[in-house]
Amino acid sequence: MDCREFNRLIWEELDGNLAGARMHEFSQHRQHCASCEREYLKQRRVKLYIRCFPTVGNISDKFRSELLYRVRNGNLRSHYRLSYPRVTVTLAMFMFVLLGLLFAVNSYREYIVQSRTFIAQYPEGYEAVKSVLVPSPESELRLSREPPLYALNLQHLRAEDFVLKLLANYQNGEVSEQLVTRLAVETGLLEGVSMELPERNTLTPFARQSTRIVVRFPHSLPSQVMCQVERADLIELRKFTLDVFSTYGPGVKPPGPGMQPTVGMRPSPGLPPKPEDNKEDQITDVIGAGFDASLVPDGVMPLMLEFAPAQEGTTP
Amino acid sequence: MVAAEKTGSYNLPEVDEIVARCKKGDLEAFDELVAKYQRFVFTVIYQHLGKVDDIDDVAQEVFLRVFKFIGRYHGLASFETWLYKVILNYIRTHQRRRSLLGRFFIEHHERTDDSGKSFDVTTQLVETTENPANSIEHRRVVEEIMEVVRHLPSMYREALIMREVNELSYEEIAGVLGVSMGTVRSRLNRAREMIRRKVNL
Repeated sequence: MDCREFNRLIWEELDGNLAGARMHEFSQHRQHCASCEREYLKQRRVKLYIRCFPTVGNISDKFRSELLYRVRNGNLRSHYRLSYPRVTVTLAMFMFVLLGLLFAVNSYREYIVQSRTFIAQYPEGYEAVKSVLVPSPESELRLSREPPLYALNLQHLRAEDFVLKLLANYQNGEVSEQLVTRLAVETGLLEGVSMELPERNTLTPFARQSTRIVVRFPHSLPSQVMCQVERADLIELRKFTLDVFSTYGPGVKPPGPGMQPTVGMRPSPGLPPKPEDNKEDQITDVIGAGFDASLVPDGVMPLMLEFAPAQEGTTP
Repeated sequence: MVAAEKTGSYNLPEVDEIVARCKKGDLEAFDELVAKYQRFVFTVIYQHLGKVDDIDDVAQEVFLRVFKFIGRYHGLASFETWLYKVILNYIRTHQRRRSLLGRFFIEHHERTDDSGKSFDVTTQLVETTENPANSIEHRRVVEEIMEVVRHLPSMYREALIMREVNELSYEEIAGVLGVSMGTVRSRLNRAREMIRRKVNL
């Protein structure tokens, strides 16, 4: 028997469970191993001391008399009872602290939160008017040989409707911030979106939030604007039923003189109804059934946005 | 444990007789039962809980539970084993109540008789606690070990006290705790190992 085995059997021996050959081996090991003998004696002392735990001597007769008194009177309920006043006071204090915290948080929020306009903060160096690209003879020349030109055909939507739909899709997280900036902000269709959030010059807090917002349109809207979007963005917009785009591909006849991009600024409130005929004969829909994919290479391409003609006398 | 004379029952005949009368609601039998086991109950509580102020309250609640539930004792183990189980269950309840929140929300009603005289027996009880360790040095060591034992996790402490102090068999301990013999053995080994490490003799 080795020391490890001996130590494992100490309590077996102390419990009286060891007998026969095992007991003999155990005793032999004790006689020859001084450290195991010390350990054995220590464990035995512990056992003896534990056995010396105090016991209760005489119990007062009062104990029995009280017990019988309670049983005879049917008073079997515990002496330990829930203290309703203490529970009430504690709950009241808890509610008081909770209300205090809510008040403090609300006050802090009112302190730091202001109504901010963040989309109106145009990128440095940009202005709404500047972003409206005036097609020059060079650009017209480019139309016929460079990537196709896309035009916004507002047959069913006014500019305000378009912007609102765009923002709605942006809010759902389905349209990127860059696209909103290019299509709405840089083109001057949108002056700003205000919402109560302690955020800065970014659209990010607006996305995926159910916060009420205020969309502010400029005093005048351009009848035609031009900006650049990638083809993927264009297709993305079509997915969200923003069915407003048409294109001019290479070799397709560009808009006539009456559709110059910067012509016809109109006031945004009180827009006239959309004319039914919007020169559709000049527009080829590249996304629809007649779309020829080879005409629309990947990459950045210009996008022309066309709005309803301004009412006479309202153009600034 | 009081050794039971095996007559087809785990108990002595007089215990069976008292229990049978108690089951019928005989208050005199209950009084006899209390007189017979009150020292046992107090001792077990004292050994498990230590010097608590309300040890007599705990004992009262234990006996009241015995009175209420003695009908559930079917003689499948000795009465002392069943009583030990009742004590241990109530001790666990009591310890939960003694936790910080429990102590705050639970209030203790002073017990008085019809004349308003207090039933408090705790002071007298502490004075009559018997410690078999004779010398002062031995008492000090016993108290040191008691302190270590009381700080053991309850599952180990309960098994250890039942085995080493109350000298219950492994089978009886398993019956009281509602666990297997192997679990009892394992808990005892663990408890002894903890004590061996903490006590310096």
